[in-house]
Amino acid sequence: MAGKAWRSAVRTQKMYRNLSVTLIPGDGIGPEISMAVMKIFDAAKAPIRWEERNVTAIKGPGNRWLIPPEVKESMDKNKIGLKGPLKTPVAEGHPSLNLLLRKTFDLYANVRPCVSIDGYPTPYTDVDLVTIRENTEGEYSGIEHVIVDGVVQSIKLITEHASQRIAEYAFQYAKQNRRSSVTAVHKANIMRMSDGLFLRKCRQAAEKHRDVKFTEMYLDTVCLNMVQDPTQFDVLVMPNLYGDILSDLCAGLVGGLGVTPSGNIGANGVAIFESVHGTAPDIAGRDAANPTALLLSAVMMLRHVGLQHHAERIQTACFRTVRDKKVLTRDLGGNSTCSEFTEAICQRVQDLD
Amino acid sequence: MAAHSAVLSVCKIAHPVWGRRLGNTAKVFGATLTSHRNKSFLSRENIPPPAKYGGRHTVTLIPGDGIGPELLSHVREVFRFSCVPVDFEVVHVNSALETEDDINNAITAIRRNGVALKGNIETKHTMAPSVKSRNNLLRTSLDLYANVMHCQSLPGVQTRHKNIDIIIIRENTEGEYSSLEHENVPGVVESLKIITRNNSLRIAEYAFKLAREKGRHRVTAVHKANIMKLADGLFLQCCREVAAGYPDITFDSMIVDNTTMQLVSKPQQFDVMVMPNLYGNVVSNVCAGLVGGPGLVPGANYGRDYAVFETATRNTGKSIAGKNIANPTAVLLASCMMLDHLKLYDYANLIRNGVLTTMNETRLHTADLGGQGTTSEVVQSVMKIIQSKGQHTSDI
Repeated sequence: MAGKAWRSAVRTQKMYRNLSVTLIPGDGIGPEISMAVMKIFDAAKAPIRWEERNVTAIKGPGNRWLIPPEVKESMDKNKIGLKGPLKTPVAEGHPSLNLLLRKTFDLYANVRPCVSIDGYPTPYTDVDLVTIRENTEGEYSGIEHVIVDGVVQSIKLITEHASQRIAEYAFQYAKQNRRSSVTAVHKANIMRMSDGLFLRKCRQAAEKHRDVKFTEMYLDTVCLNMVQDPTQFDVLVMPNLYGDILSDLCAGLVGGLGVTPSGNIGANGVAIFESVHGTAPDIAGRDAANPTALLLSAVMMLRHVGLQHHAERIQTACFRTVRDKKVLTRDLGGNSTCSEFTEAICQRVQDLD
Repeated sequence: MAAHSAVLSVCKIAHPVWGRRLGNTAKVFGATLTSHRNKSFLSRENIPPPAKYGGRHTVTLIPGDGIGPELLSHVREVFRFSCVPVDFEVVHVNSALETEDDINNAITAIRRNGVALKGNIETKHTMAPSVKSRNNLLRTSLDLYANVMHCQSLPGVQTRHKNIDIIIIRENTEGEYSSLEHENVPGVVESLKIITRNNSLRIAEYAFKLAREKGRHRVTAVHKANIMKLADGLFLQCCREVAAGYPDITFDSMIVDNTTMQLVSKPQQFDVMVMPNLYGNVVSNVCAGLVGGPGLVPGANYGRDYAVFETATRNTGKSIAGKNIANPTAVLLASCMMLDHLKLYDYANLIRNGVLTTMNETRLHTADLGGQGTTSEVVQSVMKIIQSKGQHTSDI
């Protein structure tokens, strides 16, 4: 399935020694942090060839909004993408570009590994978990209607196909990344049929992957235990809304959206890795941005395509720079610029050789 | 009944001051409830008076499953010891049965008595979808629309965050918990989330009134209106409308995912929070975890006519049932909230003081707080402190 597709893509790319990746810098601080990531990858001699593309929605036939054809072409060819923050359109007539990308490439799984960063202390230490969130249906189907004046109904959609797909992916991810357990998060005591279906599919996938431990836990129990002892969790798989809340909760445990990587896995071997913070228009162009989130997402991308060695080196360089606390951007508690921080990481990576 | 009146008369004879107090309580029966210590609000005047006869209240007790039965029996022990004028009408609900007779009996008992103390009833989701959650059924049938939980950092409990003081008000009857689901075609299931203007206005009104009453300055509405534009949009709009009538209280809103992120990094920024059902579930569990866990926080479900008290996070605690290690704090504090509701403020403060002293000064903690104490030891400590206050108590 998805696994086979990307493995063959990697094999083909490895033959050419340089993996081609579509880079979407984004808006606001996007271009700056993308530059930073490219510089660091260069210093680390990672075999990546960047293809920069810009995403601005265009109106296609039948009055539907589409992403530009050159972006689609590039992604279909490369299969792997790295994306910076995109501006949220307000009254621009077109839906969010993130949504467009998700629909175009059927990005059904949102994966967020949350790992405590050594030099960036939070009240929670030793966090090491991954949230896998179903990204296409659930409570975010956008199907709402006003039944009568004052009564609104919002529909949560759970399908067998989507639940099976995400459950399968969760176990595959656990296997590939040598994680020991997968926990399905649900509220089947209240939403019997919908979360019950999701749970059944998770159980079926667990049967096929007996080497990975499978547990089920109610959403409220997960929240309760997560803020008391996050070390008890490994991989969490859940429908859309719970995933949204829990993945942000876990991001908060390790330090916020500025240091959290994220990956979106789609059908046909497509994967887009992104930073989930905003465009920060107030600091754009001032060399003050923190590229950590995008960098860690790029590291996640390297792991996804099998370049573990490079991933490890770049991540170590980044974490050691943060731990040293000598050169840090403003949001991490330091006084340095983005370029200085980037330079420090580049130095560190080269020293690691 | 005879035994209870006997105890009453013994208490009266044995300690003159105490006897006088009990006499006063008896005088209140039948009179209009306009005590200067009247702490209630909303349309309390329209609620039928609680079940009270001969100066004693009758309260429905639903033991539930897991740790419920043992903890509630400890509550009865403490009440008996402190001569609290409350009699419990115990109603068992068997969660293994598919019929709704048990829960209907419980609901009728609560309608009769007006007040209940309950443990959590387990919902086996392996049963057919037509077998609904008993707890949910209870809440919707009695229209207990407001779930109130007060999370406070306790000085005797070690937590990562300090100085937390958040009141969470959660809409308790609709939203995602409407239990309206159907399978359109095999493999495609729809679950309906219902938000109504009336219920949203009602809960917002409750939140602001409570905030004003408790002297709070800020109410935050938690929502996801950027995605669920109509449903949460309606909720938010209702909150804004109600906020306009309370200019002394600041109103702001926050998206639920950002809220959870803020809660784990800076929980001190929150004051009063109001939200629909599911987000309430998430936020209340996060806050309970932040102040020390499920064994510490009591919760209350208020409706126009009825009130049901339980632990805030509604856990069954199956894995620790029968082992004498469960933390009785949450249930005891919930029973104190119930006594406040019944206007038995002295007893409420007495027991609450015993519990908090055990928690903060004696520091006798159960396993969930990292201590070595058993449930019975904690309860004994509470009763000892009550006895030391000089009030008359019956034999242990």
